[in-house]
Amino acid sequence: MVNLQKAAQRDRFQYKLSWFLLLLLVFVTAFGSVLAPHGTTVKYKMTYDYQIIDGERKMVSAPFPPTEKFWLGTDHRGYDLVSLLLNGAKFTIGFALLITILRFCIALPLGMYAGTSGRGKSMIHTMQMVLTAVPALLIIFPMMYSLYQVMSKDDAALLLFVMMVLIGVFPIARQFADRSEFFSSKLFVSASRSMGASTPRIIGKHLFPHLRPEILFAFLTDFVQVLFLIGQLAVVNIFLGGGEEVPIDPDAKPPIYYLLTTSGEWGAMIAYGSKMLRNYPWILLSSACFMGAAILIISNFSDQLQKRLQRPYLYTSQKARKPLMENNKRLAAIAICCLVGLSLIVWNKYDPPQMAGEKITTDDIKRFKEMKQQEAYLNYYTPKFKETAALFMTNLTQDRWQSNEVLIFKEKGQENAFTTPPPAYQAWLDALVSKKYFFVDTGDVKPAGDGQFSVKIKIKRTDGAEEEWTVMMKVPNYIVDIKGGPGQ
Amino acid sequence: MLKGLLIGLAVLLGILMIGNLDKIFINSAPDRVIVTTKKVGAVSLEKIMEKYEGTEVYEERFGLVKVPYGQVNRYVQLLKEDKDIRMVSKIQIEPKLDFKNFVVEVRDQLVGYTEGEFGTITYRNRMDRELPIDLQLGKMVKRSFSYLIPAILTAIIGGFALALLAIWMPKVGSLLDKFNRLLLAMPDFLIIALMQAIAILLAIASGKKVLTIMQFADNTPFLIPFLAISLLPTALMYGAFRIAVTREWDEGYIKTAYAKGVSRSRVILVHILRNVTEDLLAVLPRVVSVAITSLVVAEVMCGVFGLGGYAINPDLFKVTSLPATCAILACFGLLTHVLVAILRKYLVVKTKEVA
Repeated sequence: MVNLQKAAQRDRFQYKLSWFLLLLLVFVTAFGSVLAPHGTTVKYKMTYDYQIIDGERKMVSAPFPPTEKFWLGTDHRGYDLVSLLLNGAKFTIGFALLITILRFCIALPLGMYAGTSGRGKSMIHTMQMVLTAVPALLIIFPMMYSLYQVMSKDDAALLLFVMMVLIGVFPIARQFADRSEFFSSKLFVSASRSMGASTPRIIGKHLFPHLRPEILFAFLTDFVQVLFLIGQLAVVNIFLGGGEEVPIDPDAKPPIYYLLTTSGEWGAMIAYGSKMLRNYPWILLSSACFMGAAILIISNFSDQLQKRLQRPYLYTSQKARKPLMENNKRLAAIAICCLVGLSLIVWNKYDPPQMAGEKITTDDIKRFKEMKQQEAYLNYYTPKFKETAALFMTNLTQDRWQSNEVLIFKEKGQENAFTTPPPAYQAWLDALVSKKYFFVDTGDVKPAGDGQFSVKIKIKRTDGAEEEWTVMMKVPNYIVDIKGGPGQ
Repeated sequence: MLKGLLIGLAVLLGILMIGNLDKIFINSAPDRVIVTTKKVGAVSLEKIMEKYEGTEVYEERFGLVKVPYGQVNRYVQLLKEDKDIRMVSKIQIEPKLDFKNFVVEVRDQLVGYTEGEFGTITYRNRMDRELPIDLQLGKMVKRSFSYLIPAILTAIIGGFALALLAIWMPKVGSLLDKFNRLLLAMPDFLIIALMQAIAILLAIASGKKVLTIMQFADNTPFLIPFLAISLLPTALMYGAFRIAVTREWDEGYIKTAYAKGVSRSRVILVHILRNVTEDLLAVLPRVVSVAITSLVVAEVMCGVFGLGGYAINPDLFKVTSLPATCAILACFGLLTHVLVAILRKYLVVKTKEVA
């Protein structure tokens, strides 16, 4: 007896837990964009960040792996994945719900009418056999693959939506046609029919109340199946949530661009994540976990509801319930929920603190881009820079400043700035002319930010010691500055 | 039987037709090309085109040539190889819907299948060259079925064995039931992603490759696709067998068999297994269907160049053989239905009462 009581208690707890989880999913779906820790608009992008790599503080570009700042990492544009996925919940769950509702809106009248009247049942049966003989993926995948090549993304998404609705109509229609046929043979339906009730009346007044629990389970099961299908189609790059084309590998031939969702729709995130699995596994894992969690919650709710309807006596409370308006505890709980929801909406009116990239200025990003560009230039310009730097040093050694003047970059209006050597250059000139320092060779060329490159100059002193001076250069082939010097 | 055959044919034809829906939209003339000869006046266009059956010169001045309807691509390739022809180009027209083109393309594809042409693939690095899939198709079929069939067999055997275990040991059974419910609610792509993530973490921790997670050249992953394909079908099989074996276990004839001294293994193999065959056959088509879906997902995620995953391969730019490869997988699914019908006829014990 004690064991049975415990089991009943556990069942009741599981049932309540399933409701809590379902409400949590509904809450996240409805308020996901409000709960998001970062924004999902352009101003919240964090494309660049500083990281310590091999002991050096370096600027790196997105995607970033999970960190304290971004719990599930970022995508290629620098959007926080948690925020994107929370924002996308309403689209994915909404799409799935709409597809399921539309399926039932078509399938239930069709199936129940066919089951009750006997008309069209063989057609439904045949269509159900055709559509379930092979997996839905094998029907939708080749169709959408071919149509993506000729249709616009919006038209293709609409067609995909229609296909996802239609492909599920006949199996549901068949299920309820069979059930309606079963109930139609019952005496109360025969009595109703003999009293002149029409088929729609029999369906509405007699069959529907009997089938209500079955419809509920079928709805939940189908909802889960639709979510499964959305995920599976996403893996083969077919999804509803479109977005913007983002260059993933612009250096590839031809360049690789991916369609990344701006809404955070889970299907689109899975499609993108599955292509990036090898290099950035957190993208797929986080998207798949969100989808998996939603499916688990709905499946669990369906199971628990089924258990409850099988043994309703276990779940009924012995205590008499007060009406809602007299139940202060319930009223207080509802008021708190409303307040929380309202405060979340009000809070959303304010810009959430922009944690991402707050220490990075526009100048930093400009410098980073220049540096990336410089790295690309490096292979091409290194010999030229070395040649110019060597010429510059040879001219200094031979005291020919006039020849060097043309090698130095001059701003507009400063055309005569280098007719005589400025102090830093004068120091180099004096040192080399005095024959106490000798120019040996040019060294490495490295990007130095701000569009500049540093060229190392190897110098030898008369006492045999070596020094390294630096000439700063820029594209196409100018000296902009010098660093270091005799004894420094 | 005839109805089943017709349904099978309808499914295959349906896949072929919807896989070619793009052919309804045309943006170049389906029966005309522009031909430019190498030396103007040396050999007349009329003379050159005489060699090609079914062609007709409309306007020599503009090089306008009529070709058989829907054969533009074939004739462009053919004429390009002619030594007297400098250039062959299609004629761009306003995009429009053309059902005739769709019918002709589908017909040509069907004829191509009978001649062993199953479509082409185009690699990203050579977008101007369409390679026939035929040379790779054998390998692809072998690769995909090398883990699809073992996975289905594992699911059937594993499901039955676990269901028996669950009956024998109720505590294990309760645990298995919970795990089964969890597994049935887990999407296959999540299972694969988790397995790959674990393989990556293990590789990082151990400093060497533990499992192959992606195909590289001929090094094809086996364990991850195999597990991914077999897990969900095993869960389905377990669920069906669990109910069936529990039902049979409580039947009187089992108790009678025990009372007559029949051994436990004999009871299982001779009585229970035989009487749960109908449940196995009822769930088998669904198991195969789930396994095929998981195969496609697993191949895409593991980068396997197999029947299901090759179209999404990042190295490929375009594929025209997808309806054919999907039809092969669909055929496998349909064959299961045929197999189930045959087995049901010969294996299932009929318990209908006679008058």
